[in-house]
Amino acid sequence: MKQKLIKIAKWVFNLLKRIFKAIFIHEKACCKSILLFMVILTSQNIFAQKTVHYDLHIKDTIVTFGGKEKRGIAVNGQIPMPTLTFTEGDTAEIFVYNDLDEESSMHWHGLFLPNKEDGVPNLTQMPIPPHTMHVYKFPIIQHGTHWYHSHSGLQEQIGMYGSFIMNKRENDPTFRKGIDDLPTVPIVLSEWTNLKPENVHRMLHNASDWSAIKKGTTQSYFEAIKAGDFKTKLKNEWKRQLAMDVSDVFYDKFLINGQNESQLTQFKGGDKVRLSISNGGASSYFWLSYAGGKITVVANDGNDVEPVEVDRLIIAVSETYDIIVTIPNDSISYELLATPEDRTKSASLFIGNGIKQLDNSLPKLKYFEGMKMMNDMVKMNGNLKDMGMKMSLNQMDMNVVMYPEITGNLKTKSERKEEKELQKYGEIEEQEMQMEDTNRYNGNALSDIVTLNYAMLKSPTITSLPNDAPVKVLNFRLTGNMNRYLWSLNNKVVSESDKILIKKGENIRLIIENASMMRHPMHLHGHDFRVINGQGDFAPLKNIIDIMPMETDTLEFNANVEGDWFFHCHILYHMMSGMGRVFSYENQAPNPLIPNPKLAQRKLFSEDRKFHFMIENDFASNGNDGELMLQNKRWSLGTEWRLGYHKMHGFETETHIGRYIDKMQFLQIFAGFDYRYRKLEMNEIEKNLFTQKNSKDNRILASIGLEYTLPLLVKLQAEVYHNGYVRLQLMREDIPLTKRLRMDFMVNTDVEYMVGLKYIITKNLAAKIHYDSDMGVGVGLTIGY
Amino acid sequence: MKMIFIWAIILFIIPNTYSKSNIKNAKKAVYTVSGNCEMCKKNIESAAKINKTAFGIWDKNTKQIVLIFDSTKTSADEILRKIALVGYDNDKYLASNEAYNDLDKCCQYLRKELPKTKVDVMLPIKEVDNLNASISDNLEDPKNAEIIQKTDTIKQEPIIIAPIVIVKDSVRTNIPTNNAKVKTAVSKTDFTAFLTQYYAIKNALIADKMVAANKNAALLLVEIDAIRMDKLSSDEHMVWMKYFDKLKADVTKISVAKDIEKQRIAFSSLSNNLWLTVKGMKINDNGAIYVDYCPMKDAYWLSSEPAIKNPYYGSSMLTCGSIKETIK
Repeated sequence: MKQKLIKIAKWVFNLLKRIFKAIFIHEKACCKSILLFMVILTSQNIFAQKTVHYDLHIKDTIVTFGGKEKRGIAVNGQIPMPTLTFTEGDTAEIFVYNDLDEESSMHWHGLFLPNKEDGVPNLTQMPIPPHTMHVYKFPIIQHGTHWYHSHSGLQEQIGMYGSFIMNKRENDPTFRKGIDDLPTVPIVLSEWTNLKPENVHRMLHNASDWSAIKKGTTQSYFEAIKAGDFKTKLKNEWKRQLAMDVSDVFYDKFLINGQNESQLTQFKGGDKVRLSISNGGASSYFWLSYAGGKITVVANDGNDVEPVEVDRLIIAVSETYDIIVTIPNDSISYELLATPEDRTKSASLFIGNGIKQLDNSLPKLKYFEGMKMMNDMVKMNGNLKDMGMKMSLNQMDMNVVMYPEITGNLKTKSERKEEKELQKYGEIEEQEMQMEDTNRYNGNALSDIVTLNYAMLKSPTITSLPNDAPVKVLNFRLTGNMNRYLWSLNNKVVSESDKILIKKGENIRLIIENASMMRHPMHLHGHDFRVINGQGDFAPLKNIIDIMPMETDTLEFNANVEGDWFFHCHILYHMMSGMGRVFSYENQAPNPLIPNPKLAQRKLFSEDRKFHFMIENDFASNGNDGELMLQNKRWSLGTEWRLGYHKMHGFETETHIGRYIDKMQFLQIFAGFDYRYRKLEMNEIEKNLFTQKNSKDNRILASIGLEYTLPLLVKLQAEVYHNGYVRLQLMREDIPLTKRLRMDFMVNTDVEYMVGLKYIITKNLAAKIHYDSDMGVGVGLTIGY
Repeated sequence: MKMIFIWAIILFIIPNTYSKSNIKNAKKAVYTVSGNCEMCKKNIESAAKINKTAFGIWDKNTKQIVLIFDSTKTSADEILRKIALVGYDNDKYLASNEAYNDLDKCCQYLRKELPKTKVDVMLPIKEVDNLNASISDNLEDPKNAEIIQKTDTIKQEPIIIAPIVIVKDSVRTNIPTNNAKVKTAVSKTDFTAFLTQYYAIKNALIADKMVAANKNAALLLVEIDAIRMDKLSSDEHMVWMKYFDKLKADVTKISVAKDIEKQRIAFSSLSNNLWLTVKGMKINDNGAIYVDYCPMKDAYWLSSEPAIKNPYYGSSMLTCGSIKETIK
């Protein structure tokens, strides 16, 4: 018994000894690492005012933001990318390791820096090749909230965005007590789609309405009738417009600092918190509102503004705002709500510790009201008329007609009836009076919700430009067309225009008019511009300006840094479609990072010259119908085929290569090639309406022709074949009957006709039933890409 | 044979239970969600429901919701957030003012916490004034001896409670609910005859007597017209103006209908409007008014006694239903 006890005691003793040893050795190692860490820290402290070094490792990763495992790109293992913090006067030294299998780059958004550090691939540097490293090194000569992102392809969409914060020096004369010394939290807003961004881009160019179906914004005829707006829809199509939305892409999740919902528990009741917010979304504008009361805006695009109190603000793609919010109560945390402009979903950040107080959520948009508004402003030729309103600086928002929180909820059926009755009794006049009212689109005048606009921003310091400098005025029209997703400046894309030459020392004045039907956040690299907004010498400085349809804004900046500076729309898919220009200084020194400028330019231009591919085939009971399309800005190559299952039905293909002529892209001229093999019955002769005969079973024909989009989006095709045969054809595809049901029809002078109904099941799959004069009734499945 | 029978039962039960809880990775959690009534239950449960992923069952007495959800696809927080978005405060989230105000009047439960610091001080003071006024008025008028007794009891205890509760309650709702055990001033106008006549219609419907219902409805019309608007306080007047037409329309329907089912439909509408009137005007009927609920017809009725006698099915289902609220 005793022996046993001793044995156990010994065993326990040995065990303890081992444990002690392990702990002791580990502790030694620990000590060492702590020491090392201390050394590093102190050495960093010593040089803190000099060089701040960051290592950024770009790596492929798998993320589940949208509930599915998808590819993302992380930097140092995180999305968003790490927040980089500097103090004015530091030198930034950033090592970028590209561990991807594709090229990359890093753009420091809103920073004043030497052109070769700006990070625009093929313009200020060559792209960073896969598995190599690139060093960015530049002095920090400003302060404020900015951000950084990849400028290569669509990488920004899948994770490459992060905060870039530059603090004021403590002795800075502009240091504002009670603002700059508040606890500050950097915030990046972004969005996530489960689709590959390349696919999103392709679908946009093919006018796919899958995004609209997912969002529930098809605005079909059935929905229009239900809402009592059939006439509105008809007029809209009469004016050759497809259904519009405030944004184009369907997103699965919206994120604040990489999370849909998160909480800052470190704050308590009574605290004031400063949030440095950057919109890192690729194409989403966000409404910001706060459940705990008003929002105080203190800076915009990294530049201080006089504090202004608002209920809400919209942050354009790539803008930054610094706001201050107060936590009214202890033990309650208040929601900062970020709602994308299309209001499909939202993201929230709860500030404070305790039960979560939700903010008022934004009600759904009244799309048919928007359509009415659009019908009023679009002329028959597709241009916009501004109705003499001289809109600017987001002060009038045409979209308020769609905001129920400002212009009231949708009217019910009975209310609409009542209104009609009233109109009968001579109340129409009042309505017309309203039309004249210039405040019709002024949200702040229409309701007690105060929405920020650019006219409310005022710089605390004088920002006027040097008086004696020569002034150069440049006019830009923002142009575009939704149907083919063409976005441009003055109807030209980057690859179709020359660099705009400016001289160092000049004052450049930009007068920008938005003649397109979407809003565009225009961003200038390397400079801040003054926004002429009625604040005189105290005009605010910005590097992004959101310009709404029909607005005209005037900006000015002093040309003070040589280089090639990109000026573009920051909606990623608009930029990739070529909506931009390059400002270049005359007689500047060549950029050492661009050894071969011609190659670089070719690569830069290739971005917006890309062709977008689309294929579709209907596997029907009476044959195969299909088409294949390759399109870019101006050119379109399309092939259609009809393959019957027996000789009587025959085989038929038509190929067209066309170029769009007018700026609205209603008119296309094309050259074509037809091949048909069909076994006709004995002595059967086909005649067209012009009594031209066509009896060839095996015909090979070349043609030239025109295609013109008529009102109601009906396409008229006139084609002359090399043997003198003439064909006219009317066709309309994809009439939106209901949310998912589409109707097609076609009729031509060969006395051929077709009607079809298509029900869209998924992005790539539809069920179709159609009647074809050649092949009869067919039922089938359409598979498309 | 017995075995087959047992197997049959098992086979029948298994798929059934399976289909009921076909939520994968199911997790259960219990939270408190504020709310009042059956309509709240409907709202809350439909907000909690996510097809094949989650559902909740809320109990209006315990205010607790049992959530069953697929823990890989959603979380209790996400569901509670959705519940708060339609207006119901819960353990994790407080609803926004707008969502709360959008709730039906009967669903506007008493809120525990104020989401924003704005506290309306004016209202409670006004309430106290009203209370005093009504008491003194009643004292002067000996006819209202019974009501004086009532107000006396109020005077003794809840007179302090009333303003305090209202402070908490703020502008939100001045309709006190039974759940919160709030007692405030009662109307000084006598509605006894009016209510008695309503009960007479109800009793006729319980007894399946169409003609009697016709007659009593006609009498009720007279009673409605007998209410002297100039005797009402301004707040009461507002409520009365709001429901006066509706009440009359419903009663007229009952008085002319030649089909008892039509009478019952009109009676359901009448009961709802009367309920709102009674609550809005704080009518007191010398005792409790019970608001009963018939789940099969999704309809309410008012009664002066706690026993359930369902006027919607007559003798065939006399005791079906439950007391939803007691107005004292």
